[in-house]
Amino acid sequence: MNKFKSLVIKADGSNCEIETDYILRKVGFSSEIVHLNSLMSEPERILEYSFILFPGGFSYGDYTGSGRIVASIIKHHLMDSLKTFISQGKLILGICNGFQTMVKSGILPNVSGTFKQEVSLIFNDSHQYEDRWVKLQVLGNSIFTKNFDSTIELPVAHGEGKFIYEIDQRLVENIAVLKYIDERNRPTMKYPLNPNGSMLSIAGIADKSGRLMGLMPHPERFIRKEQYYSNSKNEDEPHGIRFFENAYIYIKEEL
Amino acid sequence: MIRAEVLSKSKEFDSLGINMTKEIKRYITHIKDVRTSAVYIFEKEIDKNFIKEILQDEITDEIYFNKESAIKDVFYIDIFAKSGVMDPVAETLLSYLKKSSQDSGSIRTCRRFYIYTDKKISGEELVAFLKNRYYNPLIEEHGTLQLGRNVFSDKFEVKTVSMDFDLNELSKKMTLSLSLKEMERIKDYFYNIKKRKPTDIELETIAQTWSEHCVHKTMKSPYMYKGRKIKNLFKETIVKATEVINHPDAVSVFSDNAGIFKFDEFTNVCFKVETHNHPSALEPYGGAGTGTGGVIRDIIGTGLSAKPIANTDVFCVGEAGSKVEGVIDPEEILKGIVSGVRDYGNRMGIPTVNGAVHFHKDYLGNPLVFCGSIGVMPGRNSFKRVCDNDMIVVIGGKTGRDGIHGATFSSVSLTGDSQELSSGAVQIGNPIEEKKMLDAILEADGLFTAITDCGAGGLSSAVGEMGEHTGAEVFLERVPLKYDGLTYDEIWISESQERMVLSINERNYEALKSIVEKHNTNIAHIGFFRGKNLRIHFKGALVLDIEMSFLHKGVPLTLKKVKPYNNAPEKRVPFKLNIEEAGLKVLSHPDVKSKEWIIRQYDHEVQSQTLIKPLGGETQAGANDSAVISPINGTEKCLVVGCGINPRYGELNPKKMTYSVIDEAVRNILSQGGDLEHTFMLDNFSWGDTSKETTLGGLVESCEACRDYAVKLGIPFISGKDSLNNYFIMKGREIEIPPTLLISAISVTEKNRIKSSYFKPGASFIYILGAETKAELLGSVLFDSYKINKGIMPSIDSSESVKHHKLLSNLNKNDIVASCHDISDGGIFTTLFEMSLGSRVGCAVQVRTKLTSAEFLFSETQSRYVIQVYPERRKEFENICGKNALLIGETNISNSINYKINKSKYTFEIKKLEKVYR
Repeated sequence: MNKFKSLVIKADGSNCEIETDYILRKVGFSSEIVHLNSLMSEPERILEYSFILFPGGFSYGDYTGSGRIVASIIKHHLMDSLKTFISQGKLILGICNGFQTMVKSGILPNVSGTFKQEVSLIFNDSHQYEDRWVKLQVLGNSIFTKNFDSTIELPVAHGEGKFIYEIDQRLVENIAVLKYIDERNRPTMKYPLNPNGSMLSIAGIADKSGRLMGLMPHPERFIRKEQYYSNSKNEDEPHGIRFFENAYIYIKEEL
Repeated sequence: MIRAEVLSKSKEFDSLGINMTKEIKRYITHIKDVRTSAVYIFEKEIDKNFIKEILQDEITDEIYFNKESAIKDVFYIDIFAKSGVMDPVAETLLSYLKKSSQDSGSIRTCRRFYIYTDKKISGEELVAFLKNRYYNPLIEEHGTLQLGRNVFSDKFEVKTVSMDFDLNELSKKMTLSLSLKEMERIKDYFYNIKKRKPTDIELETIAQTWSEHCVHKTMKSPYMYKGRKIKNLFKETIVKATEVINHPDAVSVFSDNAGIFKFDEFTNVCFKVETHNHPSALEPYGGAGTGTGGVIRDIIGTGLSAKPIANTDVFCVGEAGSKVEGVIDPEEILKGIVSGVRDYGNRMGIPTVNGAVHFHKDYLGNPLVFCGSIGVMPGRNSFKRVCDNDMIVVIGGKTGRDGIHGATFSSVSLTGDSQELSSGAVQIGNPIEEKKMLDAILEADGLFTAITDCGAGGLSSAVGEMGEHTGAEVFLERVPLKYDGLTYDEIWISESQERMVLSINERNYEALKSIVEKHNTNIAHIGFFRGKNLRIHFKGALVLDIEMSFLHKGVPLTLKKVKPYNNAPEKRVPFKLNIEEAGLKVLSHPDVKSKEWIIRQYDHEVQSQTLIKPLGGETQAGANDSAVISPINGTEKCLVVGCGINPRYGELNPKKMTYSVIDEAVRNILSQGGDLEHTFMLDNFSWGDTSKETTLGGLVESCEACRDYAVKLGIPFISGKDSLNNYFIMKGREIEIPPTLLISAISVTEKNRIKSSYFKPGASFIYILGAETKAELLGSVLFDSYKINKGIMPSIDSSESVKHHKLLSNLNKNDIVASCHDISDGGIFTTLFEMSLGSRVGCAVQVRTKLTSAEFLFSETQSRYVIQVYPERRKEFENICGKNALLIGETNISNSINYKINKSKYTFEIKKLEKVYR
């Protein structure tokens, strides 16, 4: 079996699946985009893959809260297969709307192990959608950010990205992987460096295994150096690619 | 029935409430706080746990079933969509519940605002604040939300219309917007040729097909101008330029939903810009949203379908602070328009990459909204052809009573009462419905023979157009409906959004059907392309039968006698002002001031193809002239997209305005690294009252200027659109918009040529490339700021300008230019500031000139660029440019912009200027 198979799960209103699929192929995966509607009837199909991606977009328009309806579909149709998938040591990454979906379906951070929603992503403090580049500090044990420099830059583009939690703060610090930072690389609550008012400046989290991760910024939007927002620095390797490369390396070495 | 209310557990989770509180306190000071919640009504009992799961965030929300929420004894107001108006939330819920086998019956949703106040507040006072900010009376109402109980009868009768009465009166009564001559032509056709009276649907179909919106009869009419006869204005100007240029890469021009040109060996690109003015005046959010949705469908419906890869948007609105009864305040119009474009474009996953906003007092009652979209397609999909006996298939959203008479409404003038009277003409879009349809169509590549969108005029327009050469036979009862009770003419002319019509061979139908259904959207086979005539059946009755030739070729055109536009007189008059103050005034002028608050709300990076973004630099505030997108599949080629528009010039002199806006569009393209030889243009005319001879004279002058300058530049027009009769009746006085022409330009270039519009760090030289700066300030931002109305307007010597543009286009092919920004609104002062702001790079400029300091700094002489060159390329640059480039200074590491103009010195701190600009 080809273990480098990745699956981009698309729902009504997803809109970042093509570029996500593109970069997966670029780093070596044999990637497929499959519609959630097709998976509902045969959920065990997801077990053919080693890496699942929940892409960005506005699934079901986010009309009843971002990611909520897809989370409901996952709970009713995909959860058993997903639990098996996770127990097999495989990888899941959720980007933006995909992160919202993972959080709301209880896949992340799953500190309790019960797959209940423990944290949330709610409307930005500005109550407005915003597209801008942010500086991020890299922390924690996610396999996706292994061997990263201590800071990276990526674009964010969302209306509901404010991270909030109900669980113990120490537990939250343990799951934090990316934090919004200021000019002096300190985690910040200052707008617009922290674009949404996220608690503890959190932009991305992983579960305790480090194999499941979600983030609000879009790594798939910084895969060519010309995509950098300024002309003053010549970035050698675009920061977004390494999330996907790390997934490939992990699967190659550990699975 | 279930009633559910979702309320956040605490105030901190209610960001809408927090932001509303801040805003409302400025108007009604005794309001202390606002909390918001969402209320849903489901007609039937369904599993409450299931509802809870999809409506409530366990961390932040409480949900209350069939009872009051935790907020008690607080005044509240409920706002909800009028019955029959598209409610995307309800529609989405309904579709998901149905999929989950939960039969909820009908669903309605509402937004609730709890108002905490010390004093008693009157409902009226509150509604006055909410109106046009959080609530539009055209499509929404306040009060108690109830399930609509619509009882319709299945009976109908075919209505025939007698034309034996006053035909003008009849046209008015039926909102046909047809002239007496046109009505007589129709009467002649039915009474003398068909020997019968027309049915209502026949009259409506002809009115729609013959509407200005669909057939552009004003542009295509013959003209008499200064004793000279022009047979067909459009053909002899815009089309003529394209024919003369005969560009080898122009693939399809003026014939399809968008113009198509060649991108590379395998791929073509199409581009279309639409106007959506009248609906946006009445319901900015819905109007701009459906404008965006509509132009995206134009792209999906070009050739055998293209994939939209970028959107553009340009708005013209009234001056801030103006208030008139019956008109939405310009600030609220602009906010509404921006939100409309944002919510549609972002949800569709199409980056909005380029645009402009202009302000002018005469847009107060008639704002302009231009929505553009760009698509890519395999070269083989560039042409469509309906075959005899192909099935007529409609896919996408269902048909309701939305937007009846939009095509004919868009051709009439607006008045203060329009917002109350024209509810049918405005629709609310559902971008997710369109996204599903787009995904299905892209997957169905190869299965259909033609495709077009249902825009203004609905099925009538789409089927009528597609069947022009084959005929069409439609069975209207097969169209999927949102609710029962629609009659045949409502189904036929409804402008429900998110629908496309396809022609398809019968053998491919099942394959198409399974794709469409996988994407959770609708498909119906509603007839066949056959029989030469247009024939419509409804439940067994033939309700329409017209020859296609009459429908498409029958519209009578009248000779238009026009007079030259009253151009503003020009004379150079000395003026005195304080340079420091003038600098601040110009940068805070609404046309110049940063549009960051708008740009940030648009996802300009989705699809991961945007290279040059609208804003950049270390500050992410440096304005680029145009955007660059590069398709993801590893090609070295990319597209540069820019535009030019200038109502201040339009009002004074439409001809000079036309030259200037074409020049600006070209400058924007070239500044970013575009290639003049592979550039294409789109024209969008928004003009005033066409019954005025001078207004139409201005149109003739503008069209001819388009032709003349385009031919000189060698840039063909590939598509365009006009929107006429943009005027507003205020207190009995007619206010026309200034003659407005939007030129959108797009260029195919290579990735290694692209550059940004703000200074790169490191010591370098600064040049002006292009025309010599003259005292051309009439109509400028400076003169507008000081209300000076005597002076000279910018003129273009087209041969000289073409030479300058070619020079830059050639420089772009080598790596000589470090950065480049054109000089336009606000003169070189604005240009240098914007270049310095991007990455906070200071500069020092020294010039000797015959002009005064103010003239030099703020003149808007066209065909000029500011160019940054590193020392190692200086010689090469100067050799190539010779006298066409003037060295004016250097960049430095200071935090300021220093000028020495003749003997006068001025220093501006970048931070201080940024404060008024951002």
